[in-house]
Amino acid sequence: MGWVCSYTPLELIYAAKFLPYRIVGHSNPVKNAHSYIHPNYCQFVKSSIDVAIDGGYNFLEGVVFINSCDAMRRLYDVWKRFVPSKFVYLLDLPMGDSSLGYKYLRDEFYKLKIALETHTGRIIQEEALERAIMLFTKSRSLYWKLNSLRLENPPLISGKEMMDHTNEFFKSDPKMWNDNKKDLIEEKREKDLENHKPRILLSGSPIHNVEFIDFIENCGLNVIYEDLCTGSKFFDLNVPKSKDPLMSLSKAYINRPPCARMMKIEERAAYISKISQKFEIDGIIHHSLKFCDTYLYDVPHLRDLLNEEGLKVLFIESDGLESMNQLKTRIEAFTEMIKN
Amino acid sequence: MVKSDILNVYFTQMVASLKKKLDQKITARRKFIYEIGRIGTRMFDNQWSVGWTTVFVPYEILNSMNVSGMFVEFFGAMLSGTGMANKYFEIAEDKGYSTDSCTYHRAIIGAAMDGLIPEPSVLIGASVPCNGGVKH
Repeated sequence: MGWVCSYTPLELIYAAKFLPYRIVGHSNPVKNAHSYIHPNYCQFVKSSIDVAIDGGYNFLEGVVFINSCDAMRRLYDVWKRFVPSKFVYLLDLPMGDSSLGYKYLRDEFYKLKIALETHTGRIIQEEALERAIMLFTKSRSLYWKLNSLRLENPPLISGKEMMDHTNEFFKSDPKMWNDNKKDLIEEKREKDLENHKPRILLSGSPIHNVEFIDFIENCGLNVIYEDLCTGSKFFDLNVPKSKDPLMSLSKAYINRPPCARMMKIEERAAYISKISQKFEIDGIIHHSLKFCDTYLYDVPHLRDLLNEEGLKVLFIESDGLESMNQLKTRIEAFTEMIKN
Repeated sequence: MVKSDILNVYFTQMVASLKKKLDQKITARRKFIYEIGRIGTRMFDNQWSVGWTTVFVPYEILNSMNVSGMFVEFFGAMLSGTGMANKYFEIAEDKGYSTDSCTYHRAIIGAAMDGLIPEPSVLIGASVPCNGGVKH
């Protein structure tokens, strides 16, 4: 079952006996998507349409979309009309600071549960949901153990490699992922990666391509934390045990560290600042996809808030992996600035 | 004269001239613009508070609380119509708002930073129809 936004309740999809599979599109110049959607949409949405139209996602039973932004809603529209799928669902997600949101999102999760049950003809048992929650909790805790290698200074694992593990998680059964990663931490600890490059926190629009991280690291930096829904932040979620697992999920997802879509810019800045202290971050790169209004509108205020905290910030915009040479100059200049 | 007085004069004159025309003959278009002008003048009326809103915000609720809803996208279009938008784009871009983002909102942000529009008492965004509306 495909999914696109980190607010998708993967536990529920897994409990319905589907393997959650993240839709990531591609990073090359867009080919056919412009025939289906206005060019004034972000590269992620356009490239996902490219892959889907070419049949690259035909192995999926369906996709659960979230009402994340305009672009995502339009992706849902295109998918429903042009991509052969047995199940296409749009889940509404509240935003802002309100406890009213818990009940609302619980209801939305409940509606998704009913829709999945109707589609499969199978009831999602409460025990199955609880087992799924435990499994994903285990994956998250393994991620944090692995990520603790980046707490070290110099880091014992590169940003690229962490991103590889993260991307693998988005495509595989958490059970297998957990088994594969269990022993990796000790193996890694034995190796000593001596490199004293500046430590960077990466924030902003989703980055699905590991080459992007590699590119930044090749500019003379270490990516230590991804404040991205496709990186470390994705795993920063805690689902407590309770009698009402759907309510637990709802509260956990609403309270997860916010992205720009959730309209909590002060909380976002506070989160970045807290993580920067914990991980001894030297500088922040905020990346926004072109036409991503959600992140672009945050830029001026977020920059002021982070500068007030004494953090150095570089804002960049990109369209996947296009125009990377221009970015290289800017990132290298930023590296020099941090070193001085 | 403070900058926002320009708008006060603009809306007051608009209402007065349309009132004269309406006394001669009522047409739907005249009546419509007249009502918009009247809403515009409320921004400078001490009896009313100002609320910035986007489309799809229930104005009835605001009106019942003596909050005059200002539909900002409409205002962005008005700035463009009067040829003033370019100046405000530049002000917003200087602050760091991307040239990729929606021009309705960029014009408004620039105008607000320049002091053209009176400060609102409340801001109400709606998540539909667009991100720009709720973000700015």
